Amino acid sequence: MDQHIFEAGMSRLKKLFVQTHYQRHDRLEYLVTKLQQAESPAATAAEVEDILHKIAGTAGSVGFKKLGDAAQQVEVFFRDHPTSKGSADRAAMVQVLNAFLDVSLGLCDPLEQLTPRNHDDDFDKVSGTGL
Amino acid sequence: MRILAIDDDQFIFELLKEIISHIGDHTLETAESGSEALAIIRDAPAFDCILLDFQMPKMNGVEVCRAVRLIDGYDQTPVVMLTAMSEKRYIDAAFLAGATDYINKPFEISDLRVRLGVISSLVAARRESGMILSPISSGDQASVASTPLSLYQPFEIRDIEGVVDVVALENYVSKLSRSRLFGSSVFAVSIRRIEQLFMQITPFDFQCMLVDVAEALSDTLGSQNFIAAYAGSGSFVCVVEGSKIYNYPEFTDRLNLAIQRLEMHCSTGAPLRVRVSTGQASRIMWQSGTTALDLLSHAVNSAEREASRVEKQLDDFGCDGASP
Repeated sequence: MDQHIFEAGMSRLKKLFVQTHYQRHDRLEYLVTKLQQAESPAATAAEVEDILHKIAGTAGSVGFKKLGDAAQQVEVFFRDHPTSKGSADRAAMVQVLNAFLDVSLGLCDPLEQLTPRNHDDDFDKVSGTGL
Repeated sequence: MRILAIDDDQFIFELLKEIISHIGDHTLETAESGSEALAIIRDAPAFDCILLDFQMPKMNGVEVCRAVRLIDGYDQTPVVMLTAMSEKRYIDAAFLAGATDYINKPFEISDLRVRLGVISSLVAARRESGMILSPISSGDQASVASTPLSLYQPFEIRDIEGVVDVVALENYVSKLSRSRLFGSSVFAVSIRRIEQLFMQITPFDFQCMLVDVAEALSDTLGSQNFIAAYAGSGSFVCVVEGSKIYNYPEFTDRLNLAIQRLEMHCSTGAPLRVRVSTGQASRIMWQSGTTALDLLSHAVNSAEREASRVEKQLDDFGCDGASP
């Protein structure tokens, strides 16, 4: 395997992941509000679970292990706590999702200010720490 | 290998393309849903390996795996689950649906590379042996190679609840062990005087007999969560959840009774007297992949020793053993 080419490829994927993650983070921020208001939150909870599932499945492979682990824990919590069980569970879901969003912000914040300038930018130095 | 990846996350495709392009002579095609994948598989030339996500909308990975197994030419194609679902119930469901291996996302690149290497070797070995699944008298299926049947060679038995290929069982035990999903036990069941039976009956009758024993084993384990495979030399390895079989002698008696009720016969009409013995069970603990696989051989050795011991005891009493 040509290590240099491979690392360049993985660096590209890392950037792609972060770009996608901004959108996912924004969507989760919207869904956490909706979760508190919706009369029947099942569809909202299912969408949250789906987004967390995707983050959990890929974050670790591109260096964001802590984010992926957090997503997996919250995903399992959502799966094991159906929204039909009542408002106490819904409050707990909102709480754990907010905790995840705090972790997620740790990834988003410094990167918000980062605009990759060219192929050899310092992106990895910022994002590669994996939270 | 020609690989088909099925996942509803585009990013996984990007990741797989990047990795697979660097780890050997493989090509990758993708499908975003089970229905799209099934259409591609039906239309396109054979894929050598399928990488399959578990949680997808409409059709989940287990449903896709079952559907793939029913397509001509895909009964033995390695299906590797590539999923973030790490609980044991999902792992069990995947292997019982016909999955060959189970890799958790997020995957380590080195791990994916090794596992694809193993699958590639398996594909090459099956191709070389000309192995295909063929129907047998009971209506179930067993794999048949172009080379003569050997006593020691495991073969695949299909369409029996809980019975999978031995390669899948090895991967299942490794997966449980590596993921620290402890609590399951491994034990084996061996047919007594198997060498004698192998010499006395035709290869076809021998395979039919083993499929019948697999059927009886599946019925006897019935209500438990179990996965079993034929490991060769007349032995079946079984993985049961927890230590739900508290009384192995009683289990062995029930299994022998179930076998007796099948009233097995050779193609010539001669009755087949088949009896089994059960070895000691071991709990799956945290072990490396190789050590976890040692559990399987220990289980088989224990069952074979018990089978020999019982036969010797019967010989000492002057009882007749197996005869067709």
